[in-house]
Amino acid sequence: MPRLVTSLLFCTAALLTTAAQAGTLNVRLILSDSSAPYRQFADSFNQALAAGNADVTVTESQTINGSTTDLIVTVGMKAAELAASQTGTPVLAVMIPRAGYEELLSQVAPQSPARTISAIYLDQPWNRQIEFLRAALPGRRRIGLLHSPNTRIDIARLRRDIAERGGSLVAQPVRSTERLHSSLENVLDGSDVLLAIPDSMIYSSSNIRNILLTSYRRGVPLIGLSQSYVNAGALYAVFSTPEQLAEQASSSVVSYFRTMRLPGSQYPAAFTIASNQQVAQSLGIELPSRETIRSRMGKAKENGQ
Amino acid sequence: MGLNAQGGTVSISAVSIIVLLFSGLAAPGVWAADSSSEIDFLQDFPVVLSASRLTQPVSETPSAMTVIDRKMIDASGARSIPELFRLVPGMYVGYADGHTPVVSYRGSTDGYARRMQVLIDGRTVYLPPYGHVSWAELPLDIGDIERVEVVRGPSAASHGSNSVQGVINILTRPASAGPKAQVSAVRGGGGISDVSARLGNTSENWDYRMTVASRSDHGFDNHGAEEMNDDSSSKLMNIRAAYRPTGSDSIDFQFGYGDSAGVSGKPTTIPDDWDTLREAKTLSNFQQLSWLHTTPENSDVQLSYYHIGQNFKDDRYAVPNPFPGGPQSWIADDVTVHRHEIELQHTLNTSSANRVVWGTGMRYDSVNSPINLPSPVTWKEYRIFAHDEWRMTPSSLLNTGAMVERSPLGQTRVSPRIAYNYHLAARHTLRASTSVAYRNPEMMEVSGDRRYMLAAGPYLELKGAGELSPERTIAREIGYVGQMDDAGSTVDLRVYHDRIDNIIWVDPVLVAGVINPYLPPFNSSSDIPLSFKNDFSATYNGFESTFNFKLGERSNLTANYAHQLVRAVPIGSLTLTPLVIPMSEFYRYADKYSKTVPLNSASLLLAQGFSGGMRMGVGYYYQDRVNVLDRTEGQPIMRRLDLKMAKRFGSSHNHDGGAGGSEIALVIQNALDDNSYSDYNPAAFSKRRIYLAAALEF
Repeated sequence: MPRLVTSLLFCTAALLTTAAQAGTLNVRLILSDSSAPYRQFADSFNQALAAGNADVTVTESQTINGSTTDLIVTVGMKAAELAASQTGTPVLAVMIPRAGYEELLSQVAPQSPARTISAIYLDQPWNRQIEFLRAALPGRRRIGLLHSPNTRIDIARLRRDIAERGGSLVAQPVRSTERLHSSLENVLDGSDVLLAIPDSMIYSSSNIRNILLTSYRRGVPLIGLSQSYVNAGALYAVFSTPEQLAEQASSSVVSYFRTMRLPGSQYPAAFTIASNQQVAQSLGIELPSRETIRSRMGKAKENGQ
Repeated sequence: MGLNAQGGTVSISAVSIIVLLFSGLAAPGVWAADSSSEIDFLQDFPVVLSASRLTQPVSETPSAMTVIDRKMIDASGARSIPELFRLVPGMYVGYADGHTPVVSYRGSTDGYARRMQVLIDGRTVYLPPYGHVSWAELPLDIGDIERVEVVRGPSAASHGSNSVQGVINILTRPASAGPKAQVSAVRGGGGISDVSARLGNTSENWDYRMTVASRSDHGFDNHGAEEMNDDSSSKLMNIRAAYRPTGSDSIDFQFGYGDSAGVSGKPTTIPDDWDTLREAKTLSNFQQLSWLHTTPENSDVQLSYYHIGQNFKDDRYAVPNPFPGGPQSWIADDVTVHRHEIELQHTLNTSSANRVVWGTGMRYDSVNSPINLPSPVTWKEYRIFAHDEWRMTPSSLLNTGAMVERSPLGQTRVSPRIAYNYHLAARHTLRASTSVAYRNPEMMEVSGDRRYMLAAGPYLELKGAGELSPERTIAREIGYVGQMDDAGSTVDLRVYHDRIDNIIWVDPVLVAGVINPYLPPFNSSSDIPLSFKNDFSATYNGFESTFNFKLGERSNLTANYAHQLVRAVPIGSLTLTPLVIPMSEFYRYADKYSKTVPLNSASLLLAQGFSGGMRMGVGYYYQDRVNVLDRTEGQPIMRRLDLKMAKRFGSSHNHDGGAGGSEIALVIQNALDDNSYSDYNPAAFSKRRIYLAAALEF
């Protein structure tokens, strides 16, 4: 906690000198959890704003209501839900999946249509993922995907998007965890690469072993959603780190300060590519350098537009 | 991200609150439990593909390797495990009878092929006293095999002793990969009647799969006047379970039990004929426990133990002599084997470019077989091994390794290996390797004394040599592994020059006090008493190739071709009197040795999938003439065509989630009836076999 104490001291000092100034934007940051990713976000967010030469003020508060708050930045689903349902203050929701955000909106919007609420999603845009696969694994065009009744993905649209880029989607439903293995065998039969999706029924910590071992034995690499997937044995993952999201969130906050408008909901601008070299070598897959992948993705984007 | 102040002071107050929200605190009814949450992106996973689980790709292995995967097993239509090895270039699969397959690489075998290391999930399954594999009696159903890796050449550093000609490494389906429930039945000509049932389940910490199966057939057809009685049946149970107490520990438990019966011999009235019609029984069991621990630094420690028990009973009467109904000679042909083995293995990445596997093991074998060994024999052997895989540059890899073993006979041997793999380009790899391996003499070869009492007196069939040197092989090869297209079609070529010294072979022997078939009343060399001797050295030169064509998304063609040349040179000197045993018996093997491998052999396997759940498999096998050493008659050219058509109903191939399904398959083995061929045993005559298989999943 020394870090927290230091920042509190620093912020208290700042409060004394600048709190009364006009034009102060009071931003309240609410974290869903105190675990590492949320802490990393908070630290980076504070740093990014501080680095902007702004006088920073902290008002300590335990509740949503309380001291004057101009903008609430929520990190994670639970915090977003709390802020959206219990206050009328503008909300910038970050580190939440798009599907979760849209569900949240559908709950909130009917009650207060004029509500200022926006998001920076945690998931990567599909086009980015498809371009990434093309750039990183050009020979592997058949993209396997497992989905469950819980999955919030427009499969038909995804199939179309992949087909437009010369690939094909092999989507296989998983009816229950017990049927996972046979569904997995089926999807691997027709796929060159298996793309993980945010669906905890399928990609749970108890299933991941089975998925990774089976796909590995079949020579079909898994593309995961995080560094943790890659550490476990996924070949690649494309994701945005809490630090990258915090950068983007801080610029949204600054933009809000200037214009009193929140940018529209958006996907993460910056992303990280993680790869598992040992798995690649073992599968006999040659990985292009990250620079090569990014430049191919950039070219694809230019051509596409 | 800079903040450009535009007039006035900008002040932002960031209120950092960590809200520890309990689920009850959330506004009621807003979120269902299965809602999308960032947790899907942020969850932590244990390391699954840890250092020991990552295998080398074929282009980076230190020796030539053939992989037979589930799809190939399916397309081959094989009912039994040995049939699969026809898909390995240069490998010989023959049958002494319907339940005695002979699997060897590089020819030079008798009915007890014993020059390969054969592993099933790490268990060495060639057993004393003969050192062969009882393929038909293994408590393992072919449907439980995940893949077979065959190392074509010595590999002591990675696979342990006895790999002078190569290694067969069978990997079964992991506990998590079993179907939930499946029953299947096979019926066909030649008395083919198999049934099997499978059950499996997975949970957070436990997985298991279980198989019970029964298999029976009438063996080969009779060939002309030769009578072949080789009906066989077997029942087996095979269980595999995995328990994961923590994310970094897993415990794998396996258990198997088999009960097999095989008919052999024939009705006979020839005095003292001991090959009478009877049924031999084999009981097999094994238990295996291995514990794998993955450390945070991604190194794996594996400790494993297994026990194999086998009891073989081929008790029978010899034909009474001289009078029918007179006293009969009872032959109690029993063998009881126990093997215990413990091994510790440590796999670690010492750097991003270097991986080391090292370990130590001990094996304890005990055999009780009064007919074969004068007294029970126990043998212990110890080994330490290390293998290093060093990626010297992104395009070159150096594999070095060695095993040091102390054999049961107290000899200490070192089996080193070095291989250099160079990626000429991303898809083209050259490999040069040289390795040494030893085969320790088997129990029968050293201490055997196989004798039984016939009416005419004590009869000696085999006599151990007492002292023998291990066979030693020095293998050298240059190989090329390439990828031919984007679809992943591959080519694997190699030329080799191997030399095996001190080959132990059966040799005539004279022992006082037993029947000598060369003397009256026998005057025959057909049942010559035999011993073992370091008889000759042989050199093997050859070329092997495997092409794997990915013809389409559901179409795969594998083509293998092998060209082999062998030359043998006798060693040692005459120890027996030519007057008593004819000169022609000496070195008869060395003369014939070049014929013990087929000059050319080839196999083709097409696996083709169609829409609507249809699949087809076509296997074609060719083998030039070959003359196995202990057979007087050669084996003619073999041409064999196997066909399989399968249709799947329900789930698996129509995208509705695999909730049950069924499958039916028709297999025609040796479809070209005009190409019926006689096998290793000339009396074993392969004719067309048709069978129908049906499976139902729940």
